[in-house]
Amino acid sequence: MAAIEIRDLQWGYAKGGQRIEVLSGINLDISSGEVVALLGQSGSGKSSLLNLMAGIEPLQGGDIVVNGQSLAAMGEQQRSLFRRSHVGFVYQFFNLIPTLTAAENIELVLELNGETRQSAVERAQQQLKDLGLEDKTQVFPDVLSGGEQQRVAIGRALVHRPSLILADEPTGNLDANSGRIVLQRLLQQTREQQTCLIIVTHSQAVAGQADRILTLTEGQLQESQGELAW
Amino acid sequence: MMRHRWQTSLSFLAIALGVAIVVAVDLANQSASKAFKLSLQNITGSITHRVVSNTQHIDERLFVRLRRELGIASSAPKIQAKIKIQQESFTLLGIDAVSEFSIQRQTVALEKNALLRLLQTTNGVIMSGHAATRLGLKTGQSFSANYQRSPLTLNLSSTINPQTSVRSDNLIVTDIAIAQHLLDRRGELDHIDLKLSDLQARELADWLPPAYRLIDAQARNTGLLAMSKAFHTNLTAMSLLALLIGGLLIYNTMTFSALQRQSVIGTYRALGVTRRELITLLLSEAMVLALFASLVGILLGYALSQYLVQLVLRTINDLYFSLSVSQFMLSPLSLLKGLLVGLLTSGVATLLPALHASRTPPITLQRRSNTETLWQQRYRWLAVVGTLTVATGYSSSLLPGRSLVGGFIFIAMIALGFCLLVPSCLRQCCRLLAWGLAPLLTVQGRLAIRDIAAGISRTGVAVAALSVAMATVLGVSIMISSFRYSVEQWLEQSLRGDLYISVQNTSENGRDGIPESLIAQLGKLEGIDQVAELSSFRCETDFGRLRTVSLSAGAAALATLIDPLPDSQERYAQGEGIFVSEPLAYHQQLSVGDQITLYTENGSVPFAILGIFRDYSSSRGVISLPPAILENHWPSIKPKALIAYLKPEADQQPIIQKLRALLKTYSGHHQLVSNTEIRNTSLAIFDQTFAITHVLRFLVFIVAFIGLISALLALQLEKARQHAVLRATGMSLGQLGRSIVFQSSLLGLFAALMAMPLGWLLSDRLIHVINRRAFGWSMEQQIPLEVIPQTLFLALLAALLACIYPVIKLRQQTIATSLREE
Repeated sequence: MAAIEIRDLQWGYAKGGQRIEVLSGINLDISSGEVVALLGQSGSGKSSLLNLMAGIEPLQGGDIVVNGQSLAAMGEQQRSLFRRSHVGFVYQFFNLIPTLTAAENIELVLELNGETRQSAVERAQQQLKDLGLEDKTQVFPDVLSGGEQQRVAIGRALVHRPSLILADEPTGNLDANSGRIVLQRLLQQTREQQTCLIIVTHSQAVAGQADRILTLTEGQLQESQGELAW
Repeated sequence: MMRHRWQTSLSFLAIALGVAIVVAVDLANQSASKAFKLSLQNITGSITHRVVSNTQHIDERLFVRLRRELGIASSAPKIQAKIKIQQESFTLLGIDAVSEFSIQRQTVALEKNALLRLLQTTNGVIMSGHAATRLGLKTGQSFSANYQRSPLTLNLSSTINPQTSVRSDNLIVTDIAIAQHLLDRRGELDHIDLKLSDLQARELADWLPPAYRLIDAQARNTGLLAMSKAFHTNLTAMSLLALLIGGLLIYNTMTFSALQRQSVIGTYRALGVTRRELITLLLSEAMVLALFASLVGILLGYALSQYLVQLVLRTINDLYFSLSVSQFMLSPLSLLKGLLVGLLTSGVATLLPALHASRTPPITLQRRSNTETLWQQRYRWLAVVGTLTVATGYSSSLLPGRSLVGGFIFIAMIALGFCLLVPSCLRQCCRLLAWGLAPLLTVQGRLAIRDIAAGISRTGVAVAALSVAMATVLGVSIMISSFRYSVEQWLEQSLRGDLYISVQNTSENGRDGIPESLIAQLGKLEGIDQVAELSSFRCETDFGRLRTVSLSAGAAALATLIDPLPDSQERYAQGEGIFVSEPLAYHQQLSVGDQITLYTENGSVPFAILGIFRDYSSSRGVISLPPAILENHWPSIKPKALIAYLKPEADQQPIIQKLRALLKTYSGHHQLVSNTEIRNTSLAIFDQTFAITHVLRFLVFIVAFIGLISALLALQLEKARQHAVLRATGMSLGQLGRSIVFQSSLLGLFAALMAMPLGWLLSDRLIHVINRRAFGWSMEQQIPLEVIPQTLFLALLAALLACIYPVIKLRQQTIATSLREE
């Protein structure tokens, strides 16, 4: 049984009195521990698909089932609870909370999941150690390099062992070397935890690391063979 | 501006409210002052000189002699008294209509028909049509009035148009003979008004018998105008603080507005808009908004001032003399001041972020979070400048000086310097709280506290506005409380007797006095330990006519002396000199050992000042004479009141009943009041005097509240992306909402905590500098403990109310959109 099932997913928005269909009947199964690269042109709906899978946007048609939980049946509060326990997000611009230290950025997720303070502190320290940032635990994001910030963001996304990691161009804002290190860490950790990873990227190198490559074109997903579609 | 309707409305409201408060207080102040001057003009008119008596009243035969022997035709006798009609104060002015024509006093010029009707009516009086309508009186109708609690029956013979004759609504004019009859002062005049040339004045001064003096009417006016200073001073203080708070409010909302559009500004810059064009564009927009908002503010202020002025006038009426505003004074200066406050503050508030925007690279501008970096660098310098400003303001206020304007400048410096200190203090408060609560705080709690410090450009200004507003409320409360406490203490010391019996139907001089037989009978009443005689009259001095009191030998002193010499009381008892009240000593720079000239029945006599006593009954001053001096120099003055001291075991009620029965056997109206009644009435008047401050407190609270909403919305706007990340991470709307409430409460708490030292400092300076310089009163600073929880409650209430809208707005935030931004 697939860890994530997407069935007949439809999504769009209204603009100038007209409805614009972004996703029209998407179907997808992803197994545990599988890494999927999601490609597509700007405006093709990649980020929208990620937001729908994370429960950030409410579903308009179809369903997404994550580990047996149907997002279509969830209200706002339930989707918040779903996100905090089942989803980890890695953004292109890191999006660390600037007024929290590296460790606190990670502790916050554990705290939201009801972890005790002592346990949250210990797990955050361990997570940063695993990411090679043991000497940066009490440092605020503004003094970390881009690569270090993204590693902290990976720690935040993985620390609570979610079922699904969504990475929106995680190396898009990094130099080649930092990007490579970050990607290695992300893949290593997700594979260790047997977590599903969906990476939105424009990079062939990044896509080449994935188990599967999907391209989003005109609201439909197409399986690719390791090459960019444009 | 049209796209951000809520923010534009908030800026509009902030400017309008800030301007409204400044205009309202200023207009109320101007109107009260002008009405005061106008009333004086009604009473003194266009006269040049006035004959007054050293023996407290003028024999009306002097007026006849003056006309016949010196041939001074431009002269008019006058008698006046304060009366009450339906609890409203009026001045009853008795004039001789024929003589009035001779001095052509425009302000009370009567028409011949009105005069004829007046003379044909028993107890006839004339009042303005406006006042008659207000009182529900018609021409020819009889009505009741009270003169020193004695009932009078008056008849409205006619009404007149206030604009052409009697300008003040609260002035009642009657024939002098009717006034003498009503006030039971036959053959007496209060003064004779004259229009004289310099030569005539010199001749008359030489001719006058020793018991009379000729004084310059203009000089008298100046002295009386000082009476209104109390209200002018307090309102000016309020006006200045309102200006500062209104300014902060406008600054906060306008910078928020600029912040909201920062990314658009960045795009303009990227497209090639020059710095100058950008500044011009932003300033023009702000000025258009400020202009319309200021105009609305002026209208609001005008409406509000109508209410405030009535509060001020009611107090003046009860404490000094009848006054009303039949025509509201719309001072162009006040309106211009309001407009300038709105435009200039909005201009400065827009110019600072506009200058910053023009100097910052376009890409940086497009990120909102970068705004803070500048402030993080600035706040240390602000703290240094703020500390220096507070220190300079405070130390300057300690220097000897008498300038009231100077006092206001020092207070403004303290408040302004404090505002500059707030960002730094706020950071320290956050740091201390985070450190102190570290073992208890969750990451979310730490985040809320650190975000306050991180958003110091918004939170600092909001907390400054809220804390200055709270400090104003606190400072004024402490000042009033200290004042009230001092008045209570003074009443305690002054009112040592148990019962007070006074003669009511006399002029202010008390010449008729208490019958000697009554004094003797009172002493024999069972339960009465001692009876003291109190003489009270108006004495002419070089500083104007001052209330003068004298207590019979053996009675306890009226009030305690300030820093007395060891032998002051003994020398006073022996008649070697007099005591003067603190305000008189302060304003005229008199000290113990100096001499003061009093115009006695024997002519002018210098007296040594043996002591200065505390007195809050008059801001002009009171003189206390020992019995020996009174007997020697004012032999005609008789006791006006008796003070009965009861035996410790005596029951007051039966004695009061016996006394009432005894007083009925005497002609004339005698009033019997207990110590408690006098104290309660005095304190009731005190409370009424400061009623206006309650309204202003409320306004200040509203202004601070809007400032806080604006700051919270600014924070929310800045943190939109962060909130989206938190929501994407799994934080629920409820958790995020609670975090905003926690943050807002902390802002309120910090503002209240910071308001306390500033409030204390403001009250200290209001008491020791402003009130001292304005009135000459000294008082002990008393901090009522209840003001501390009250301040906390007010600040927290403002904070909680202010976060309602931001929490609602949070629900409308789209996570995906916010994540895409920046």
